[in-house]
Amino acid sequence: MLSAVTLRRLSLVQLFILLLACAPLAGLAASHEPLFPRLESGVGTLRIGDRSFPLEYSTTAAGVLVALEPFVGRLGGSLEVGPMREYHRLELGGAAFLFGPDSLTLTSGEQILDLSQPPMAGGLGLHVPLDLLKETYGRQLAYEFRWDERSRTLSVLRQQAREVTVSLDTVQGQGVTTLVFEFGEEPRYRIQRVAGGVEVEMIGDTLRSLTRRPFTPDPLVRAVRMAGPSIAIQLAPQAVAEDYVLQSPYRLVFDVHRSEAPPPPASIAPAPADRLPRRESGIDTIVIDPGHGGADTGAQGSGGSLEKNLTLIVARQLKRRLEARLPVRVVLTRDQDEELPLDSRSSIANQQKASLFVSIHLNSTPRGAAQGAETYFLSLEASDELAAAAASAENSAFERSARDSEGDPLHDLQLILWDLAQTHHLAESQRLAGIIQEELNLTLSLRNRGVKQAPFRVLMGAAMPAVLVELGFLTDPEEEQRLNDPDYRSQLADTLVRAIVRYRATMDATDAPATSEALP
Amino acid sequence: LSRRAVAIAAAAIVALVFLVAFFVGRRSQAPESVQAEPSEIPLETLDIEGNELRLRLLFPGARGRLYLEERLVPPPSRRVDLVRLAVSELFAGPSDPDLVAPFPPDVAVADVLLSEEGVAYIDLAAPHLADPPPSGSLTELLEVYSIVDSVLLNAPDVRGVVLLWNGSQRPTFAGHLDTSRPLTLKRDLIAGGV
Repeated sequence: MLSAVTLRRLSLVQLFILLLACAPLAGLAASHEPLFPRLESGVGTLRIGDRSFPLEYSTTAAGVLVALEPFVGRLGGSLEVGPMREYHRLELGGAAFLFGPDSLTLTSGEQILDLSQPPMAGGLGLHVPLDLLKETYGRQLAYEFRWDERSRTLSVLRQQAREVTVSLDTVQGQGVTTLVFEFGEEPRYRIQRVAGGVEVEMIGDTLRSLTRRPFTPDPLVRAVRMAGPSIAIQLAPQAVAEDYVLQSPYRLVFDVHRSEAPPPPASIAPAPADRLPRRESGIDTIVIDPGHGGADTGAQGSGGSLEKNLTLIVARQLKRRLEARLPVRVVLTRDQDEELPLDSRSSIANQQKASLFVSIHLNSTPRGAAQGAETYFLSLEASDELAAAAASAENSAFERSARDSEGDPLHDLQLILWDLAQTHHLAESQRLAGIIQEELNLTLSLRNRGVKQAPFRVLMGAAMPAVLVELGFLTDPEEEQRLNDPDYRSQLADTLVRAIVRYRATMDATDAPATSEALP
Repeated sequence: LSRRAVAIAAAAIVALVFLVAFFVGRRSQAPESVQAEPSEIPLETLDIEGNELRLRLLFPGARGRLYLEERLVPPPSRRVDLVRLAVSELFAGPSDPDLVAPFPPDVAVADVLLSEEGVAYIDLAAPHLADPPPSGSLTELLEVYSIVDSVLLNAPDVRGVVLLWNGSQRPTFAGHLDTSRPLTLKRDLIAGGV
C-alpha cells in the first residue's frame, strides 16, 4: 500500500517536472522546428547474443536514436505511455523512469538526467537516444550497447562481472552524518530504501572492502555493512539518507539527517498521498539570479561563449532540479536573454519573500590563467559613512526624507530591526557560501578559490541570505570548454542543489528550538 | 672699424651680459618663490627617498591578484596632484610584462577631483565606449581596485575613491561591484599584502 502511494506520488511529481521541462520545447514542436531535425530513418538490426531482430532507427546531428519497444519486449521492463503519448514511464529493476518526446530530461525518483538529444516519435513508437538506454537498461540490468554506424546494427552485450574495491569514510557534524563510499572504479548498482535503512545492491559486480576499522555507530547511523553484492546502511528511527555521486574518484555519498516531519500521532489522519511534504524548514521560496543578460554579456570566453547565456542555462537546470528535490518554489529573476538592473534582481527576491537568493555567474580575469570557483557574500564596507557624505550633495530628496523621519521612534525601530536582520542574514549568507564552496570543491575537483566578500550590488538589497557564486573562468580555455559541456553543467546544477539541501538540513538542525512554536 | 662701431659693439655686449645675468638670476630665484607657497601635504606622511616620492602602484596580474610595483617620482605639493600622479602613472602601465594596466589604452583619465570630505573622484573617458567593457567579477574587481588601492595607498588623506565613466557615476561598472559609493582599500586582492 505504502509503495503504491509512493509510486503514485512520484509519478505525479515526475510528470509535473516533465511537463515543465517540455514546456519550452512545446513551442518548438508546435512550430515544427525540432531541436535536432531527423536526417535519416530506416530499419537496422538489433543483435542480442547470437540472435538478430529488426530495429527502427533515426539519425540526427546529435547521433542515433532507436525504437524503444523492442528493448522492452526482449530485455524486460514495463512501459506505460500517456494518452496523448506526451510521457513514457518505464519500470525496470525496481526503478521508474519518466521521459517523453521533445524532452531533454530523463527523471528517476529525485534524479534528473540530461539527455544528449530528445526522444522523437517514430513509425512504431518512440525513438530514444542511446544514452537513455544506458541510463535505464545499462544501469538497472548491466547491459552495454554498441552501435555500428556502417551496418546500422545495435549490439546488446552483458557487462563483465567485476570485483570492485570500496572504502568508507565518515564525517559527522551539524546534525548530519555523511557516509562516503569510494570505489576503485565506477560501480553498477541500484539503491533501495528498505525498512530501517538503505541498501546499495551491486548489479553484476561484487564488492571488496578496503576498510578494516569497524563502523562506529552514532545517533543517526546504527550500522554499515559492506560485503559481497551489497552495502547495507542501518539508520536510526526518523533518520533519512539522501544520496548523490561525486566523480574522480567515483564516490557514492549519503547525507543522513533527521527527517523534517516526525511521524504523525495515530489520532491524526494521514496526509493525502499527492500532497508535498510540509514545509518546515523555513525555506519556501528560492530566487535564482542568472547573471547579466541582454546587452550586458558579462564575461566572454576566447571561444566566444558568453556568460549571460551559460548562467541562464545553469539557472534553469537548477530551478528544475531544486523543485524536484525539495518542496520549494523557485523563481528566476530572468528566464530569457534580457537586461535586468541589479537592483531589480534583489527586489524580485524581496517581493517574492524569498528565503534564499543565489546569483549565478561565470568569471574572467584580465591576465593569467585563473581557474576555479569562488563564492561571495556581501561585505559592508567602511565606505558607507563616506557614501552618505558623498551622496548628500547629490541626493537631496533622500536627505529630506531622512530628515523628515528623524525623531520618529518607529523609523528608529525600523532601522534597528533592519540592522539586526542584516547582521543575521550576513552570518547565514556566509554559512551558505561556505557550504556551496565546499560542495563545489568536493564534487568537481575545482581549484578552490574560497569564500570571499565584496560589495556586490546585487547582494546589497536582498533581505535574506544571499550569495553570488562564480562557477568557473570563461577566460580559461579548458574551463570554457567544460562549461559548454551539458554533462558538466548538469553536475554544477546538481552540486548547487546538494549545497542548498545541506544548508536547509543544517538550518533545520540549527533552528530546531525555534520551531517549537508549532508544538501545543 | 670706426671707434663709433667699436663703442656700439661694446655696449651691445654689455647689454647682453646684463640681460643674461638678469634672466639667470630670475631662474635661480624661482624655487624660492615655490618654496614660499607651502605644500598641502605634510612630508612626513609621504614615503620620500632622497628628494623623490616612492609611489606604490597596484597592477592586475596572474592568478587574479594585484601586484605591487614601485617607482620614484618628484613629490607634488597639492593633494589632488598626488592623486592625479598615482592614477596617471598607473594608466601609463607596468614595467613588468606579466602585469597589465587597469584598462585598455583607449581608456584615459579625463579628470581628477578631490572633495572636502576627502573623496577622490576619478573620471575615466572612453568616448567610443558608452559603457565600461563587460567582464566577469574578478576582472571588474581588479580594474576598479587597481585604481582605488593605488590612490589610497599613496594619498593618506584620501578616504575613498569614486570612479566615473565618461563623466557619470555608475551603479556598477561591469555588473557586480557597487560603484555608486566611495570605495575603500581592499587589501585581500593584493598579492603578498602591503
